[in-house]
Amino acid sequence: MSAAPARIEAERLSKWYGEVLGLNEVSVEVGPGVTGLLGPNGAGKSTFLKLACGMLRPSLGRVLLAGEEPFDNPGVMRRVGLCPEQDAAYPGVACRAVLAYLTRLHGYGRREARLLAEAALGRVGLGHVLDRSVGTFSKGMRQRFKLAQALAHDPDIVILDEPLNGLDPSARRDLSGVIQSLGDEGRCVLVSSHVLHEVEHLARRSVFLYQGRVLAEGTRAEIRRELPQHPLQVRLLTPQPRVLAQRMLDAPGVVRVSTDAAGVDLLTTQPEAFFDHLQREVPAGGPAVTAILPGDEDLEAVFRYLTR
Amino acid sequence: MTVHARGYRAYAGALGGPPAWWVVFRANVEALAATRAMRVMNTLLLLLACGVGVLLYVQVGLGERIFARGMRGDDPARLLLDHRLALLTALRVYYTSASVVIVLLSILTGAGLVADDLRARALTLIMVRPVRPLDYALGKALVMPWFVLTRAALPGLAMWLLVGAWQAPGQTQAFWEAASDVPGVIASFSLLAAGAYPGLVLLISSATPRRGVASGLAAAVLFGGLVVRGIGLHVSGLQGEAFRLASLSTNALAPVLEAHWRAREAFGRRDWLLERVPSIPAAAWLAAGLLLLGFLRVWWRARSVEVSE
Repeated sequence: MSAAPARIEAERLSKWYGEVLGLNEVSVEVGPGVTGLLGPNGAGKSTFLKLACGMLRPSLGRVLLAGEEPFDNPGVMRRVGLCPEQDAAYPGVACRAVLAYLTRLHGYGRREARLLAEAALGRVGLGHVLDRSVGTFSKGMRQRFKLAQALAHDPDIVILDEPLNGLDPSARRDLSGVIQSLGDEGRCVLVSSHVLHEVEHLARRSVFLYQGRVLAEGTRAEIRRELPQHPLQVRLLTPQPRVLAQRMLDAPGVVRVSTDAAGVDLLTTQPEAFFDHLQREVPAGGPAVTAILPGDEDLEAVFRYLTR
Repeated sequence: MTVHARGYRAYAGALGGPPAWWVVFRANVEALAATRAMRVMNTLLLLLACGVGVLLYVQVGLGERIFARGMRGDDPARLLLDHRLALLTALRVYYTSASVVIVLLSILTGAGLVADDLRARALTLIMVRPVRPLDYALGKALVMPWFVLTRAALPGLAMWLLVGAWQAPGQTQAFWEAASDVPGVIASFSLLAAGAYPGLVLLISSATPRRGVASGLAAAVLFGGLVVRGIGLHVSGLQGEAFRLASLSTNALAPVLEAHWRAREAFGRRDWLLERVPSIPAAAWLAAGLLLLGFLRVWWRARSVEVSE
């Protein structure tokens, strides 16, 4: 096993299931920090995860974890922690025992595995139910347990498949905090989700998959800048919304203007020209603009643009 | 030097450790040994072995001193043959009774070996660790043979050693030499049982995620085999031979029955059972085949794990 940095790299990665194309020449790089893997059902997220976890052999291209191909490569799998989407645990066995067993598979001794299991369960907030069987856990606790089993052996590549599915707001906040802390620690964390706003708060970067292809990758702002043909939504906060709205009607590329008590919402097809116009117009005796807010740089909007 | 946005955190986890198949095997042995069913079966087997051991002691040790020597005289060669027959009779009794317990043990505890992993969808969690499908299959495939081997071979070998120890002074070595074939008989029974029952149970356990269904199917096949064998007793030729192979418990007993029959023959006694015992090579091939099939099935199951099922 090499000591190469924790990275997931896919180079023209393709996978066919018979005549069905699961993944089509996907090339992405995922480094330290939290990265989102986004796409609707059937986009190829699960295929990508299976390939990244070494459970499938690529039809074409290759995927590398820390510089090594994961298929049939137990050495590199020591560094990987997977939180699968589906519930997976022995329902009649205490969570500490299950986790200790799974941790032992990484080469730890019995005592060490037990300590690591306890630490991981404590980290996800299950430290008070070490001897409770997983079968008695609520949905939120099972999600926490799945995350704990992915972390117990101290991996530096963490792959999370829909980790926040079905959680209440409190549990969602807790687990989001844990996931973000994993990224802050310098681990390479890949979070797959089809619920865009979940990833929005977690991931610094996102990879959009659609019909087996990479639609876009980068930060939300980067992706948005790549889409000049789509109108940009901007919200301007002002004490005089109606006056400002009238002035903005002549701004370049503006195709829609609406107002409310606090400000003006605009759609422009020429963002750069619009902002130039705004910079000229506002100081020139126009109504004061107290804040300029990006109205649609959320992932939902970006994805809507991308797949339209 | 590579500079990353958030700084690279070097991997600090385990780099070595025992082979994965050993960890799978050991963890499953420990888990099964802690089950109530296994404890009950162990107690039953221990009681059975102790009971047969006491009878053997009465016959060979204590009884010999009190009754038999006076009647038989002091011919050491005949005494050794007599004790060898007593040992083989005890082994036959023990293994015939223990077979039932071992079959139950295989069904009750072995049926969940892979079925539990399938039901819990734990295979996904296991296969994304440094565990190859081969490691998983090997670890699982060795669990039940280990239990069967130890529970079959150890009591038999203990009886062989004890009967030697109970001999008159200076005769111990002579007895072990006279009964030097008995460890082979014990090993044959143990290996046949350790191959056939676990192989079948593994095959069934990896076919369904329901432990109850796996137990039921295994019981149906193992006890159904007795019925098929019963039919085979009335059928001649190759077909009859094939039918008689259907009972795995009788197959495992074949070496013991044959050795016992030959020991009785030395005293001019004949046993009608021999002609009806299945051939040992055929039983061995069947046991090995079942274990291999069970292993391959588990290996295949582990290979086809998916992240999102």
